[in-house]
Amino acid sequence: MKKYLFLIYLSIQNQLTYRLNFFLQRIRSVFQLMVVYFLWAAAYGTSNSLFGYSQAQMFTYVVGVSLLRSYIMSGKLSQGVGEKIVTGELSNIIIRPLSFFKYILSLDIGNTLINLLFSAVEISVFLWLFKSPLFIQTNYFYIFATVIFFVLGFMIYFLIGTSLSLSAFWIEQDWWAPIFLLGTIIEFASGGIFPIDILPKAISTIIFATPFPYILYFPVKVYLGQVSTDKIIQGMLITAIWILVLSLIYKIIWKKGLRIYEAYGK
Amino acid sequence: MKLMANNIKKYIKVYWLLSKSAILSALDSRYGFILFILGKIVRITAFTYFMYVLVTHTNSLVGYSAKQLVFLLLTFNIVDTGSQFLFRDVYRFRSKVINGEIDGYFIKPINVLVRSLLGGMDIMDFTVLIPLLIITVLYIPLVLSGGLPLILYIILLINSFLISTAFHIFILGMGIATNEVELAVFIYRDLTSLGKIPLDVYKYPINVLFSYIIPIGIMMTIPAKALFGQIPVMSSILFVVLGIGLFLISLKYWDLAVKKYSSASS
Repeated sequence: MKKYLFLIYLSIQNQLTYRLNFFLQRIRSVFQLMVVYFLWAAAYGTSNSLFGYSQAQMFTYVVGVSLLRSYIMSGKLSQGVGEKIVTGELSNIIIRPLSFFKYILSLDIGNTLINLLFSAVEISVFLWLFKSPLFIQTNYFYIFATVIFFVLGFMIYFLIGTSLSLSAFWIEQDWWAPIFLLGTIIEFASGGIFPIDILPKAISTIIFATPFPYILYFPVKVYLGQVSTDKIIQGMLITAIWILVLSLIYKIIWKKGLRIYEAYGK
Repeated sequence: MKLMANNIKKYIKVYWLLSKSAILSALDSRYGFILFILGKIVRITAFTYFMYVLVTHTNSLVGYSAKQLVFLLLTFNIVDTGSQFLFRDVYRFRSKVINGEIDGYFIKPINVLVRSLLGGMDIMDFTVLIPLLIITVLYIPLVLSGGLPLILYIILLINSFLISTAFHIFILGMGIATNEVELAVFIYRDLTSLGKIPLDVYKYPINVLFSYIIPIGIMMTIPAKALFGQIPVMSSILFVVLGIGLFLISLKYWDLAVKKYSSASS
């Protein structure tokens, strides 16, 4: 356990070493928030309700998703596994007395913790500058449930990113392509730009059959108190099942991939 | 005159040779090629659909109708995809500076800036660009307000590409001077993504900053507004002058950067 905690610490140190790089990444996050925030601000105009959300609820949704995105989707290492396979760097990792899965997970956790901290600061400054109305949740049950979904959403995204990266065992030069495609799909299907319930029922039903809404949309809906207790428990069960399924997929791909791994790059 | 004509022929031939090589290289990774195009189509379609859903619920967005917003998005995507199609090699510039490949450019009878900027067309973006152009041309009659607005639209669209060229030259200059290209490119992409929605949406001073100081608005929103008949001729002339001015400044910056260049390795 100590070695993985140390890896988390190393990951944080690594981020802070390349400060300009890190600072510019943060600036990118602010630009992404600006597009969505001002779009919704313009959509609301002078009205207070749209798609069943009040202004405060929608701005809270946008800000919440932005915060979650910085935390959940900043894990680059799980997606960079493909590069390690193609270059042969994977060999250096698998000969160590470490679980590869826990190694990558620890580095990603370190990455996301530092991004979460800075994102919280940026968003606070942003909200203060633009005097945005926000919904503040006071019910401890919803806050606790939101935190649980934060963790579960992180695991879903981590498992998807890592499993797709492992396609590098077979498709080598094009391993980035499925990640690019899925990243684009996830951006919309996870509720990154808009709440999924604003879409027609047919489309939202299809999206809810995937794990994507549980990455960003569902945790923020829970925070907004718009999900009943039954649905929260149902959501936790569904998320847990998805994590189990994705873990199984990851294990299968990893075992099959290792059998054919030849460390070409080294 | 004859010398200029011969030079232009020479550069067209070189560009075609580089493009052939880039196309063959891209087609070698058919899997990546198909998934990349799918990802682009998903991104463009999903965001356009979302904007359409938003505007149909609000009747208009900062005075733009649904049809106008869709056209704004089409224009944005033409400029964005077109820039990537032309200047994809800029994304690879950093590695060339670091491994010293750029040194070879200086000793060849081809202008280094032209070689670095136009390293061969990106067939993947080309595949997306053609249908985009066709759809845009077919869509124009739905939002056109007259003959003069159409001429202004074409002129301002060319001006958008001129501004985009200027930005890419700045990025190349930064690459020579600091090695920081990748992040500069992604910051440029995030800045231009602010133009995905009309710049009228942003509050003061953001709309002024991104309209005239960092001319994203001139690149992305103004051409479409001209087609809607909302931009007078004198303003169009001013925007073109700004575009030419920015282009000339970028060339000056490139000259300064090259003078400071010392080879990293060869």
